Amino acid sequence: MTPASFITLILLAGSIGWTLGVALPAPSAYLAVSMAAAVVVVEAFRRLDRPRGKLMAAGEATAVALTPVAAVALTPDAQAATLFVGVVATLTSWLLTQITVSDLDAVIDPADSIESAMSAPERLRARFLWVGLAQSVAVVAGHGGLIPPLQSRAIAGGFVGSFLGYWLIGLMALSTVERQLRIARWKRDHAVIDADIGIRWGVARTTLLTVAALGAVLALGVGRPALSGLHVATTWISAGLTSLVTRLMGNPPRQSPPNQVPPTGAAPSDFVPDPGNTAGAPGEWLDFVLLVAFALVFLGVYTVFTRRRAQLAATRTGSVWSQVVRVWLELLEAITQIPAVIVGWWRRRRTHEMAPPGASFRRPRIEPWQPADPFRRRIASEFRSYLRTAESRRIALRPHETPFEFGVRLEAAGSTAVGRLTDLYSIARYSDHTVGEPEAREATAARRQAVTDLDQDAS
Amino acid sequence: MTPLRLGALLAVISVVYAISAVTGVAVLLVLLAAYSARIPAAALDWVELERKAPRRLFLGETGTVQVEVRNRGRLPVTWLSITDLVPFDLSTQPLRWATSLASGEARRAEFRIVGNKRGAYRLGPSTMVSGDVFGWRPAQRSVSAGPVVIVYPRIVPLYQLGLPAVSPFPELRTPLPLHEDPLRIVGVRPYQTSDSARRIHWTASAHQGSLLVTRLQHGFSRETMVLLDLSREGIGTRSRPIELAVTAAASILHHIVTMERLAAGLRFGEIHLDPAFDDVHLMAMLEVLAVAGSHEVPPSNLLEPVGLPYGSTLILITRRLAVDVTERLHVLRRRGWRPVVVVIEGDKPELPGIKIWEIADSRSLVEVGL
Repeated sequence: MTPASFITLILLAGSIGWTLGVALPAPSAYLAVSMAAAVVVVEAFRRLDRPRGKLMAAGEATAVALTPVAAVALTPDAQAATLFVGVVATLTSWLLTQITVSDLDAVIDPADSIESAMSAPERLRARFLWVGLAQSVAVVAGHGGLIPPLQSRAIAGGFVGSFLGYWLIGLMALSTVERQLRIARWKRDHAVIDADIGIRWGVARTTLLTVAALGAVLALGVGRPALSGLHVATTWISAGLTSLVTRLMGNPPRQSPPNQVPPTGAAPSDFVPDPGNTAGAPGEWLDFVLLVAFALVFLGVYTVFTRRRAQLAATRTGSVWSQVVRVWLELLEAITQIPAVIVGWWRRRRTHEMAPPGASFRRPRIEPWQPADPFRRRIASEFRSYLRTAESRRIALRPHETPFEFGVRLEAAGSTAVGRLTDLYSIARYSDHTVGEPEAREATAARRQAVTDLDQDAS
Repeated sequence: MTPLRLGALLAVISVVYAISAVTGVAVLLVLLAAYSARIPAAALDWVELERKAPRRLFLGETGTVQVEVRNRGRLPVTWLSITDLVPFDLSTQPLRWATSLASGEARRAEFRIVGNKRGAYRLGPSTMVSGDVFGWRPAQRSVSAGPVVIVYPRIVPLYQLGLPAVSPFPELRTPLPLHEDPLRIVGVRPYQTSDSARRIHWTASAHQGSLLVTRLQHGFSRETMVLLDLSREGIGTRSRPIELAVTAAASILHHIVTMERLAAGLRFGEIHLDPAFDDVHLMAMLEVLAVAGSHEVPPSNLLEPVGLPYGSTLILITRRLAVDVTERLHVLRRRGWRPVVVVIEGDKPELPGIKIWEIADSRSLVEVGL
């Protein structure tokens, strides 16, 4: 069984467990069902040892088919939740199986493919975390009452249990995939592999996950008062900030009705507003504050996002919808980087304050090579132009790669003109040979041919 | 997206919304991320790597390299991938090894290397890669280069070089019985009462059934100096004549020391080794020849009489004889030295009074393997 099949089956088993276990009242019973289903299904498919493509198709079809069946069979109260969980499970398995089939095999035998900017295991790990984040968001939404079916305590408990199960099963599967990939790579490189490395890997994984889970439980038990305190403090801080902003704007809180109705016939007394009542801040000012906050967040996201344009362009492949999804994922990741940017700016500022007067901390900028000789400059320009074009098609010059190695790599992929272009660039940049108009013209022709080769490969 | 970032994000969410499950996952992720960021790298710092390799290899000989890794720390190393770079002429593939180390554990692996080409080769450097079981943060450490393996030059019988197999060089014998050389046995003869008991050849006597004593060669032998000319002026820069010259020098030295049991020395470039006839000295000369290559020292420097044992046989191995070299050879001959010239793939010159051997025919090259 390959790693691809293994993780496919784990996800398939998880989705079946989700579907069946969501009707159970207790999260522990739900987890038990999930794990048992995982073991049974994995063992069954291991014995069958079917071809990988059919296996994946069977897994997806089963996951999709089981969802409405389970929805009909269960009580009406659980139908919507079952549908929701089934869809999430199917999408999750789909996301991860896409990686396993198309990418993981390329890791084991990458001879015929040009490696992209991010390796397949990295993509697998990243998508695993992204799916976990999506489930976290779903849990938070269910907790906040945004998903009506999850308002039932039993179903919400089952869903939270599935959330925990995803992490535990997923981390184990991730570790297994990593082990299989490592061993496959070592075998490919004809390495001597000690026999007990697999056993020790498993022991280390189980021990690590157990210790971390115990640590999490301990933190939940010991840290529950602290968590509650932080939660209360967060609530109070947000309320205080709102009050402060409202007062700074010069608008008094909305006037509260008097606590006691004055007796009929008595002279009305002067109304004195309650200074502590800030719940009635004017809506328009609050909206304005929210707009400013949104603008600031948008500016930060845009700033971070624009720094990632090169990487984004390098991964622009696939259909339009996949590009849209990728852009949104990049945006989400950019949001997570904002705190890092702020901390980095604060650290630089602090370092600058601690530095002696006159010290400069400006990072040296690496300028592109610009020779005085016009022909050498033209060859360099052609080479850089080709690099930009190649980057837009997911073929990037790696940081450690020389132009010669880059040319050899692309030549191996079938682009013969690149070799000539990199040769000309190497001659122009690193040699004392005379470079004239013929070489510059040849570089232009080689660049055009190489770009044509790229387009043909893409089509 | 990294586990630490996601854990931090979930921690913030759990603080705001106070959801136990999210908090638990956040703590789980932060703990695992902290482990993957620190522990494997820290454990790898305590791993020591040691290589043991044969110091010398003959051409074509197979040797064994032992690589031992020892974990001196208290943390286990779940997986460890070791790549030890080996010069291409010793092995076509680097040494790759995947293992796992508990605390205090040592493991050893053996790899084979083959001396495919003469030279001095340093094993390593090595790269050790480890990491967590999820592949989040691999840790890497380099280990500096290890021991040097010397591959001796090719040694062939002299007849393969086109030289006579017996006494190709004019070592002198004398009719005057100055002394008997105990290392040069020329035969046996019947025992006489005046013979010392130490002269009895017991093995031959037992075979013959009567006492026999060894007959030793009377005479004295002169020392031999091999002058290897690998200058650009003398032999050029092409590899085949250079390799053939080195092979000839090694074979001649080996023949003189081990077969003839005579003292031999070597002069190459600015390196000078005085004549001696023990095996250790021969090994030292072969090590010099293992790393010999083209240089800029003029060939006439080889024929400087300073340091050359008086009256010794001088074997000059070169390809082209310049005029000044020829003149100096004649001067040395008149002063009492015995010069011999071995020409490698060149024109055989006519030098009156000086013996000249030529190594050029295709048969010798094929047999030598060049």
